Amino acid sequence: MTLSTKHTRWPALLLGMTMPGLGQMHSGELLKGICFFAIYQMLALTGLRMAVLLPDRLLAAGVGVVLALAVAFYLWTIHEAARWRSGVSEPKAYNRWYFYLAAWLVGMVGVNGLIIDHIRSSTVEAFKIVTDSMAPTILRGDRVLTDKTAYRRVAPRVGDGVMFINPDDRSKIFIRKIAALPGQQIPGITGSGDVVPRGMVYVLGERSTAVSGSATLGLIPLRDLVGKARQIYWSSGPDGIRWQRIGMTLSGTVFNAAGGGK
Amino acid sequence: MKEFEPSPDFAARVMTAVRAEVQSHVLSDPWLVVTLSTPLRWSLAFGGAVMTLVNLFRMLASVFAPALCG
Repeated sequence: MTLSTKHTRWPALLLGMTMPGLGQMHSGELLKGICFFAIYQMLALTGLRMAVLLPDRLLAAGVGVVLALAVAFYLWTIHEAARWRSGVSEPKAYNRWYFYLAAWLVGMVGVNGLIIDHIRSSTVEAFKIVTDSMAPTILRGDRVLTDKTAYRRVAPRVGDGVMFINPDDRSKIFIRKIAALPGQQIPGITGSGDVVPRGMVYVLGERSTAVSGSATLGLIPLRDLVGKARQIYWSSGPDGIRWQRIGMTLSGTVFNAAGGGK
Repeated sequence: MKEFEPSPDFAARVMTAVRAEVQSHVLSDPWLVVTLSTPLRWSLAFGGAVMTLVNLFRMLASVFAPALCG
């Protein structure tokens, strides 16, 4: 990108930096600016919605490509706003500082904030594992991508690694594997009446020494399942980066549903 | 009428006079002194660059800034 002073529209460049499309609005292209802003948001939102439909091993790559495209589009809108060209109309009557401040507040603080919140709460979110409760499948220091849409598409399965809200402290998120679904026998209990009730799941850690599976936490309501752990996108520990774990998938076949844990 | 023949530095002298005239108006208006100052322009450029980085970081962090999980 080469922008000489002679061919650069500095106000449009600066406004374009603060919000995709705002530079175009400054040049009198209001509709174009709104469209660019909407494309930027939709690129991230719908792109990530499509990325979570990819197979587990492609999830992190798909998410990375979507975010890279959004970043590239943002930078391109800055360049497009700043590039001098003939035929662009002069600034319109709305060319007042308070218009741009209002547009930024609505766009980047309001809409962009809501989109980012929606992505984290309803599409995909990253978690850093801070305990050894799921070792050796998931180690302390692993960073895991969690699919928030998984259980809106398919029902939970035994062996799935799930993030759920800790019933004892709802500000905390735990990861365990599903050991029994509604109607199934609770593992390790022989009595015929001990089945998981409707709307609940029984979860276990991978290590028998680990704390807090359902034996200590109790049954977990299905509505408290936050999402399904799908892929490790980064892993580091006391010995440095664990390259061999990066990209590892966490499907039900990796989790040993029969493996005992407390 | 004899054809007008401007001196070679005619345009330069006119523009110098114009700039001096504009500058005199600018210096008499404190608001214009501030808004057209070089420090303000650099501050705006720096602010714009920071906003770009903040916005891009927010979008990337929407996925890759991990929450803690026990």
